[in-house]
Amino acid sequence: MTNQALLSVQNVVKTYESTAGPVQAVCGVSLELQRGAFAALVGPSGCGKTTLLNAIGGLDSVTSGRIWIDGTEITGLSDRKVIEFRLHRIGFVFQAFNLVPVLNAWENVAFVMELQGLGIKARRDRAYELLSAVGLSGKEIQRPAQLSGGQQQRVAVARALASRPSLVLADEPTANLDSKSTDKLLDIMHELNQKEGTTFLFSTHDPRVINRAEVLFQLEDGRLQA
Amino acid sequence: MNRSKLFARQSELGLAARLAFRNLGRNRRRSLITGAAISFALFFAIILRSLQLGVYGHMVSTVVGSMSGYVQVSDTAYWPSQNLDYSLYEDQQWLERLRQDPEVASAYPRIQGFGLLSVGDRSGVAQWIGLSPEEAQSSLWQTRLASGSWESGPGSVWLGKRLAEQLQVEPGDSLVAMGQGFQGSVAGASWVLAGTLHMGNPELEKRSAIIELKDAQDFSGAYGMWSYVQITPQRREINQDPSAELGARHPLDGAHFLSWQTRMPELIQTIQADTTGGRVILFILYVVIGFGLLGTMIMLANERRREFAMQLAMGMRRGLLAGTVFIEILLLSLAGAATGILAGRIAVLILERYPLRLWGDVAAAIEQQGWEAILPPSLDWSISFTHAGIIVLIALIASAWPLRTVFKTSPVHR
Repeated sequence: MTNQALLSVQNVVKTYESTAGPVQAVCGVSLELQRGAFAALVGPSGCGKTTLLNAIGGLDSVTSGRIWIDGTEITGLSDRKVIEFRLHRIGFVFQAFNLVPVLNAWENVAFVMELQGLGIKARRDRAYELLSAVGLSGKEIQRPAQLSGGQQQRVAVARALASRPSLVLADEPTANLDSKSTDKLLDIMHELNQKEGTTFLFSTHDPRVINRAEVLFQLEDGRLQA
Repeated sequence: MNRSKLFARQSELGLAARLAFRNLGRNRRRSLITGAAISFALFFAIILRSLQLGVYGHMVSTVVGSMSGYVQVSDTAYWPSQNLDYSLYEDQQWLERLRQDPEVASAYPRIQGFGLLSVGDRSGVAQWIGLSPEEAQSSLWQTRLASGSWESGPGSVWLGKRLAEQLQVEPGDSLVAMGQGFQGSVAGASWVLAGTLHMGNPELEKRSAIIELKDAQDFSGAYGMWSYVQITPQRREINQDPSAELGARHPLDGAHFLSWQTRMPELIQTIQADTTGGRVILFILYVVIGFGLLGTMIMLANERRREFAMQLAMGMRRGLLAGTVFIEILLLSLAGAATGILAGRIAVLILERYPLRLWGDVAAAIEQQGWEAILPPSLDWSISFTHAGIIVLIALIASAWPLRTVFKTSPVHR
C-alpha cells in the first residue's frame, strides 16, 4: 500500500458455491485508489463489479486476499468491527434508492448519524446542509414516496456523505435514472468530491458515469484488465 | 461504556422506537387486521373464561356460600353423616373471638337436620335449618324473600319457594313437622309459614325449611347445641382454603375446620372437568390466532428483507434492527390487547347486569342438576390480564420469524 492510497486491494479472490460447482466471481484483483479520487469499476454485467464493491465495503467476505481502507485492513476485522467501520468510514449509494420509507428526507440523511449517536441539532443541521447541496432544499420533510426517483437518489447521496466518510461506494447509482437526472446526480457527486474531498468509487457500465470518472478500473470475468 | 457510546446507544434506541412506531402506520390495513385479530381473540377468551368462572362462582356462592358455608366448624364425627347427635356445645366466647378475626367476614352457628313436612294430605321431605337471628338479618337472607316477611314469632318457618308450591301453602298457613331429634328423640312441631324464599338453586328451593336457631334447638331437643358454625372468609376464591389457618388460630375442643373443597369433592370435580373443556376451546382459539399471526409475520419479513439488508449495510447492528421489529410487534400486540380488554370488560359488565339465561332442554337439564340456569360472568380482572398476557406472548413468539429473517439476512441481499 502506498503512502497516499486510501484504498488498497491486494490479490482478492471471491468464490461462490453454486449447484454447478464453485464459481470464481473475482479472481485475484489488486488495485489502489488515491484519496479524493472519482473512480469507477467498469465492465459488463456479471464481470464481478458488485461483488468486488461489496467486498471493499465489508458487506461480503473474501475467499482470499486483503483489503485496506484508510490504513485499516477490513478483511482482518471481526463482523462487529466491520459494522462499526462501515458506520463511520464508508458511505453507500445503491442501485435501487433504498431509503427507509417511514423516515422523511432529512431523517433518511440523518439515519447514519443517528446510529453514530450525534445529537439532533448536529444531525438536522448536517442533513439540511447536504440536502441543500444536492438541490433538495424545501423537500426535507417529504417522505421517499413523495419524491421522484432522481430526488430519492440524491437523498441517498446526501445520506452516504452525512457521516463524512473516507470512501463512498456507489453501486450502479444511475441505473434507474433518466439522462437528465443522471447528469444532475453526477454533477452533484463530482461537486461534493471536489468540495468535501470525499473519495468516490462507482461500479457501473453506464457510459455517462464512465465519461465523468477520473480513474477507471476495467473488470472482465472477475479479472482486472490493464 | 464511555460517554459517546452511551450516547450512541440512547440515540439508537430512540431511532428503533421511532421506526417501530412509524412502521405500524406503513401498512395500515395489515396492522388493523392483525390488531383486530388479537382484540377479537382476547375478547372471546375473556367472555368465555369470565362466563365459565362466573358460573363456578355462582355455583359455589349459592350452594356453598349461603348454605353449607365456605368453612364449617363441626364435631370431628359430624361429617360425612351430618348426624344431629354429633353436635357441638355452644361456646359464645369462642364465637366472638372467631368473629374478631380479620380474615373472617362472618361466622354464624346453625343447627340442622332432615324431617317430614305435611299440610293436609300433602307432604314433603325437608332439610330444616336453624338460623341465628343475626344471620337471618343478613342482607343475603333478606334479599331472598319471595313472599311473606321476615317479621316472625315463635314457630315461624320460611320455605324454599318450590317446596311451598309443592305443599301448596301460603304465608299464614300452618304445617306439621316431624323428624329425628337429638339422641334418638322424636322431633315434632307445628310451624306457621312466615314467607317463601328464592334460594338461587332449584334443588335447595325444593327442600329448604328455615327456622330460628332457638326454635330448631327446641324442635330437635338439642338444647344449647350447634350442628356447626358456618364461616364466610374474606378470601373466597375457588382455589383459596383458609380452613387450616383459621383452625390453628381458633381451636375448639373436639371440633375441626373443614373447607367446602374437602366436604364437596364432587363440586370441585365438576368444576375441574368443565375447566378442562373450556381450556381445550381456548387452546384451539389460540392455535388458530397463532397461525394467523405467524402468516402476518412471514409476510412482514418477506416484504422488508431488502430494507433490512440496506439498514445492515448502512451500519445498523442486527440486534438493534431485531429490536426495532420486536418493538413494532410488541406495540401492535399491546394495542390489540388493550382494545380486546376494553371490549371484553364492557361485554362482561353488560352480562353481569343482564346475565344470560338458558332456556329449553338445556335449562331443564341444568336445573335438574341443582343449578340455576343462568350464566353470570366473573368480574375478576385477572382473567383479562392473564389472557392478554397469553395472546401478547403468542404474538411475540410469532415474531420469531421476522427476527430470524433479520439475523439471516445478508447486507448484500438488496
